[in-house]
Amino acid sequence: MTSPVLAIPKLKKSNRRPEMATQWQLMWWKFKKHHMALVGMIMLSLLVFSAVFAEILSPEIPTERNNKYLASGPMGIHFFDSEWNFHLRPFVYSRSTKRDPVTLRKIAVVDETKLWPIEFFVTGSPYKFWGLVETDIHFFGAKGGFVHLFGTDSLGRDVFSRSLYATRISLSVGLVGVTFAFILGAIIGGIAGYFGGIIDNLIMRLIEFIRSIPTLPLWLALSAALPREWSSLQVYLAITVILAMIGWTHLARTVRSKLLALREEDFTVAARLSGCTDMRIILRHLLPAFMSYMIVDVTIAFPEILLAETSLSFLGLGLREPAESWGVLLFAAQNVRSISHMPWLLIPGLFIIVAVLAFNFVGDGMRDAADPYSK
Amino acid sequence: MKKGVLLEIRDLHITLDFDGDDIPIVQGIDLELPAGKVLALVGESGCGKSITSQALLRLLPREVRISSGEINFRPTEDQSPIDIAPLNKDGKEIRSIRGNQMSMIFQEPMSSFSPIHKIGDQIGEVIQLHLKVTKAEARRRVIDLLDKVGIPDPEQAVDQYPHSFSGGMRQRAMIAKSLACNPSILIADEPTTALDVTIQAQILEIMRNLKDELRMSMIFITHDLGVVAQIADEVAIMYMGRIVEKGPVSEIFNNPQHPYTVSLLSAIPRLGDLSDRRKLTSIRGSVPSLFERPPGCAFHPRCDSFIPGRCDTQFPPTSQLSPIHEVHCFIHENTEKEISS
Amino acid sequence: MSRLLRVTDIKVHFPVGKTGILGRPANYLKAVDGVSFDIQRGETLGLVGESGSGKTTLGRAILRALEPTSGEIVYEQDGNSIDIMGLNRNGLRKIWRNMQMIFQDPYASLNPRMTVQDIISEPLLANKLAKGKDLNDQVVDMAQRCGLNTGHLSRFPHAFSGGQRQRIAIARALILHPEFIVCDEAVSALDVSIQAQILNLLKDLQVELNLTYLFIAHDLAAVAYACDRVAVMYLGQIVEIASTEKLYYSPRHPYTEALMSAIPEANPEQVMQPVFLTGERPSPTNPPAGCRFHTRCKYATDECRTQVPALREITEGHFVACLHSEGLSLKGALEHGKG
Repeated sequence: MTSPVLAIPKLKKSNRRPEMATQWQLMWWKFKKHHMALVGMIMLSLLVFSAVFAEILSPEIPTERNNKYLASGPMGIHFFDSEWNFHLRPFVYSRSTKRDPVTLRKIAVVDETKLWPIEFFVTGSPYKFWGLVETDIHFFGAKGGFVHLFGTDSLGRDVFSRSLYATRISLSVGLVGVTFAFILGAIIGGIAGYFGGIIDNLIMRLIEFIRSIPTLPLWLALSAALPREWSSLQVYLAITVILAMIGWTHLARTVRSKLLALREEDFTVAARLSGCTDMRIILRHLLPAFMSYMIVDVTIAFPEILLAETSLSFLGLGLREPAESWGVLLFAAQNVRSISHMPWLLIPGLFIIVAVLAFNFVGDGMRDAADPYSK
Repeated sequence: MKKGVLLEIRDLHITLDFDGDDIPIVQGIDLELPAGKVLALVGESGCGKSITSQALLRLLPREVRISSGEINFRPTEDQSPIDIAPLNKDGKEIRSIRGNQMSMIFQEPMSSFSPIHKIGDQIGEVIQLHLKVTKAEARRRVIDLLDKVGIPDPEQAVDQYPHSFSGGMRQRAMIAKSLACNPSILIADEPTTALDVTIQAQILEIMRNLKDELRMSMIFITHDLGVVAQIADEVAIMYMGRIVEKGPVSEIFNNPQHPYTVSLLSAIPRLGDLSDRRKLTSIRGSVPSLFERPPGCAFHPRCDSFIPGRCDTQFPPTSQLSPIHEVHCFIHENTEKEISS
Repeated sequence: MSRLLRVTDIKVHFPVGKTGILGRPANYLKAVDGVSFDIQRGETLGLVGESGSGKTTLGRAILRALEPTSGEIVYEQDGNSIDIMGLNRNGLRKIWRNMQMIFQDPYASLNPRMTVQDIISEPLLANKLAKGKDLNDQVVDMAQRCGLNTGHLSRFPHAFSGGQRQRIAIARALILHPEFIVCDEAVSALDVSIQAQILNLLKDLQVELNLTYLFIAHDLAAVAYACDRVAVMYLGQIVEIASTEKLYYSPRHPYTEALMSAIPEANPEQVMQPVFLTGERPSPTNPPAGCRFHTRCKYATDECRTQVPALREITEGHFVACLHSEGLSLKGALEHGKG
């Protein structure tokens, strides 16, 4: 697997002289020194990779129910069997179904006599990759049986597969939300910073007003207003817009303050004296100069939107079954009973933690790298 | 160590860790600070003068380290010298020297004061930290010090906050702070560069008084040759991490021998005869970056006396022009022999 | 010599203190407070003063790079007098082809995200004056005149040293062939050896392209070298203007005397004995009444505390704003040291 980090060829020493570098190269060198940011970058790359290839990487279709393995825990992958024989090909122990004599529920029990070897690129349930290419190849699977790395939920659906599909939805909600927020923030912040005066004053007061509204009730109200009969795609789009409505304020502030600061910079004065029109100054001189700061801010805004989506879905007001998102998956782990019986349902929460931390690390590293002349 | 020498630097090398590569910043300098004298380290940006001064107090940035050499410090004549170079950067020994026996003043005085504490308390704290005195005694001493550096109304100033001080006043307060524990050596890193010319004159006057009245030994780092002429006893000219010439101030200004020193002195505008607007003699090119250090004598690409095959292969050895005047340049290679023979 | 620029009673006041949504500012910082002077074609006029004297603000206000509060700026172009204060946005863009600026900090004045080629060609592109090969030729020609290596034009500014960056800034300022350049501390941030290069370059270009400079600086020795006439500013006003020789060797204002005495001369035998100013510089928000310098002037009398001295010509070409100028015997530069 290649991450963008590793894909960039190691620069030769002679090429590493700061004299010759472009701005982005300089930023990259500085970013590289930030070890946590690199780790974050790798984590993000992994998440993005699994989001993109969710169908292939998951052994099951997320809606598929395994009646032989209902509400059961993660299956361990082994190299040594119960007699301590080494197997080059990893395997899972087979499971057989029994009925609990007390509760009369069907339960799955480990059968150590039979091994299900893990094979790669196996055929399984058919699916359409990105809804386009029909195939039945899965990255891995257990020959002769099934494998549930993170266990199954009460309906027998594979939590691992669902987590991967959820990663796609959650990350894309974040991405679309951030894009909306970015556009709104850039335009509104740009207007405030460029025109200044009363317009600036009004916009700033509006932002302060929006930020002073307690966010959770606002989200609740907005999403409660969504019609119940909407399809999950419509809900998905509506949710991203709702998240963007909150997210833009922060970006707008950054754009405004950067614009105000850059307007006073010597190079802007020089551009004005050079005869540049206002439009030319903004597009050619100012925008490239604060692009890096915007990217930093977007990186930092991303986890906010991720968490917001999760909270909404967790409360049942965001995305709903059968759509998968991290919040939707955690929705299943809402009561004490399911947590005590099926603690593995909390695993999708780890994805959220990893994603948020990774974004914060990367954001930190980018912030340090963004200033071209700082040490 | 020689008699009467407070501080001696022997073959000091300092390197910068740039992504795992060691880039030399200072390449083997030798210096001596005689007691009661002002030694000026002079050079253009990037010559290593500030880094050298920071190395003395082990205040180097994290990616910069002393790679070899000795810094021998002898606070008083009867003590045995301590080598500062191998000490632990944050250890007890160096902390007892810092601020106590050797102290430093910086270009930007605001950075050495916390904005939320009174000036007097901040200076008093240093005194109480290093000397065993009561709070009241410390306060009295602070008032004394503020008075000594020419702050009007010291009784009132002691209770003021740094932001109410002007730039010149802050610089005075910083000098007072650095004098708090009667240090043997005062290191001043471009102390007047950020100041207006009239304030600069006042600060120079204060520092000259310290030298004359308290016999304070100072290391003065600056790029301003005018300031050097006004305050220094001894001058060392640095270029790209090496000392190219050193000697007493009158020797350096009246009888400069290194081509770099000569061109520096003719590059500064002077107030001589203004009707004769001669062109300034500039040095061609610019100081190369640390990553493109020319081999041999680093000045050779900009030097008019460049000897091909010589200057670009090896750094010239010391030529002792007189017992007090030393230069590193191949054009003086034979001069020394004449003197010694 | 003919007049190029006349500045009359120019003021730049910045609002300070709390302003409500519609409220008025509590006070004004009077950065420049009634300054008048002329600049002759082909000369270099120096503008000196300490930090907070308003010299940088004045330099920008003359170009209307910063909007003056009031005053009159008249620029002579081909026999026409152009009232710069009356120009609209487009008029300004046009007049800026004749009036340019070089900034103090070559790190801040060059856009770090543009190549040197882009930076120097920007004025031509913005005014739609050249394109294609013609544009390229003009840029290369100007870069050469300013001593830049034309092989490095595709690099970014951070690849250059401070002196080279200042050359880039000069090339940008000159690419439209202006007549008048405001050099705002153009050599202050540079190393000694580079400073000499840039000062020499500015002088050569002045002769070659028939330029007029307003040379703003705090380094008095550099000003003495670079300028034909020098104006001294204190708290937003000009206190003295004269030819460089007169101003440096026989100043007529006590503040000028103090400035001159404080120049550290690069001569260890000439120990300086500066005239010390008492007290602190007053705030430009609440300047003292009468002569603004009276709070620090050792010659001040009661008159000085109430009466505002006008800038008057005491000998030909020597203007001073001091009530007692005739009665004082002040020392010039180099007379203060004990040699």
